[in-house]
Amino acid sequence: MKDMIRMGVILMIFCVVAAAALAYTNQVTSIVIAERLHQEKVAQLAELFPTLTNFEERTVDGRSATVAFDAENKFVGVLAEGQTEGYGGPISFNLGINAAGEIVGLTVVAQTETPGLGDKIKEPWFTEQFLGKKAGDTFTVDAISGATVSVKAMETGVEREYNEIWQRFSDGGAAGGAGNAAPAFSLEGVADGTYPGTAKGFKGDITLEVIVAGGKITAINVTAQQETADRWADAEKVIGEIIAKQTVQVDAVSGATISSDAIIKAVQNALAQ
Amino acid sequence: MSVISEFSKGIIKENAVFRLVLGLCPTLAVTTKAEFGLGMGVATSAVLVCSNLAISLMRNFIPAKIRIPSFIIIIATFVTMVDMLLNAYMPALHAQLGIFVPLIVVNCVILGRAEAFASKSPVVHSLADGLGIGLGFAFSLTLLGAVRELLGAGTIFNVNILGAAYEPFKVFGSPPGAFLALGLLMALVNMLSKKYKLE
Amino acid sequence: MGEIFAIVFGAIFINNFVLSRFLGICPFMGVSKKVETSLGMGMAVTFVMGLASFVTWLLEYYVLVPNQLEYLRTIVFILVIASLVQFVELVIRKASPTLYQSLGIFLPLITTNCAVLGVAILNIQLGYNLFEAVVFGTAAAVGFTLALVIMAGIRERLEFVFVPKHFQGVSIAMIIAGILSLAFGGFKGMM
Repeated sequence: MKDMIRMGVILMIFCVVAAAALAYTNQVTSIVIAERLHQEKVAQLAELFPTLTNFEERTVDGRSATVAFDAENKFVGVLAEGQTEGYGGPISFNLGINAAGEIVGLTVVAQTETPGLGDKIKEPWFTEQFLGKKAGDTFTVDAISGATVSVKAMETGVEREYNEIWQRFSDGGAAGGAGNAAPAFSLEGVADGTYPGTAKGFKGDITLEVIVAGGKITAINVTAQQETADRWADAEKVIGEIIAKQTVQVDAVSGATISSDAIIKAVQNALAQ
Repeated sequence: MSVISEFSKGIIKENAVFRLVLGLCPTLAVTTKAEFGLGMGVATSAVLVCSNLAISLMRNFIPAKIRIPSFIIIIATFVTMVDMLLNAYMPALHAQLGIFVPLIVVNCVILGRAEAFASKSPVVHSLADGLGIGLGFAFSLTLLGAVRELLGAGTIFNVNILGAAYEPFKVFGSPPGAFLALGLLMALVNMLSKKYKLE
Repeated sequence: MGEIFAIVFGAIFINNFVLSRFLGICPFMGVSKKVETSLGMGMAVTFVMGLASFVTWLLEYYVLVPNQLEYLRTIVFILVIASLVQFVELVIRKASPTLYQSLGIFLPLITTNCAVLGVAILNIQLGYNLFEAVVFGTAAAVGFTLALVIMAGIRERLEFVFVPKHFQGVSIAMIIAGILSLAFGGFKGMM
């Protein structure tokens, strides 16, 4: 019996130490991973929609997509994931559509087609054939010899997914995010006073107050945040910049993009009320 | 045995893949290219060295009855760390290795070394053993990856070797090719080790 | 219904765990010398994989996800699978000594069978619901058993043929597996 307890305690200690070590590693790496994914998304969107300044995740009728806006908060395009059934299994791809309804980007992200034959569908020369296609066009492309099924799967898959996405997001997916879009920024007509604003940061909501006096932002006080301490110290620098430049058109702090972007968004939200 | 021979035995004489026939799942699955084989080999070696070290340090505290669950916890902790670090700093490799990163946990090489060696040997010896076996494993995976990449795409480490005129054996890039290439390599290793009397 | 059929057919034939996904190669090479033992191993694995799919799915969605502990998935799953195997061994030994005699020796080997942990992680990655996860786990194990039994059938006959000296043992088994894998490749494109 005593032996049982001793062994139980030892195993318990192992578990606690293991969990603590993993929690620490997770804390360090999850920031790097989230930061990287965010950067990748920004880079990908910027390439597809050069005028983009802002983007947002929206869900309409069970399909989610990233909707991009320009500086005037006009809808410039949408990026969504699509799927089709290929020869060797599902093929998933990212499909970018601009505001005119034209395909501006197609990249295959995962596929299990036959190496050397069907997997050619992921090569740029193949996917580029879909660029510029829009509603009503025929979605046929050059065949690849020995890979008829994979090519056919892409033709029908891209057409089907294009129609599904465009049907839901041709208006910028307003139904999925009405009111969520960061509103246009203007200090004009903002009366003096204190304006509360919130936006989602890396670990939760960031709540702050923007104090406007004499038509100028004089102070930004953060009232609540749960961001990681050292990242937050970096992210906070963006506040000084907003006050100095009297605009939210400031760059996010690299290494803390998610937190600093959230501060910028919260300020926008505050002043739009 | 001396520390040096503990290290060197793992590379050829007790090579995990070719002589002990252990850890075959990742060996076959990720070796479509030499670089993926090397990446998997290094990741597995890192876990093996760390777990050998930790288990050897704690070998006198772990009661015999609960040694297997203790080993599994220790190994799984290191595997999860490697998984997170790869995801954070080498995302392309992490995506390519996919499910086989968490599956390092059930790689019989690691639990095998823990049970057969690290739990009974002093720290320095366990470290040497882990490094040697790990190096041998990484070498085998890189070799198989290089052979498959060369035959399947005409390149090694993405450097074109066989020239543009070479018509690749596509099959070596796909699952059947993994079995065939490993089978042929094993026969070659058998032949060489008979010839040079390594038995 | 079509979805479920696709999962079953896909797991057994198209993406066979052993021949296409490379999960469970160690027992595939080690226990495939006789048809009878490979059937026993296959049944034990099928039982454990179905059960493990069920338990790990519940743990993922009722314990790990609500507490944001997804990063502990590997360690939790492997511990649960190890305890599950021990538990199944105890139950079978008490309940049916005859079954234990035929399956018992295979059970300890299952903990380090990467097909079991593999199926648990794949269930999560592929986003299956509880029912689909159990179906996928069981079907994948049936696929494993099928590959094992076919392999054992071939190896039994291999005893009576001439194999070049250096190819004897694991080497020839690998090449046979390669040919089997090519044959299973023919199922691709059926869906």
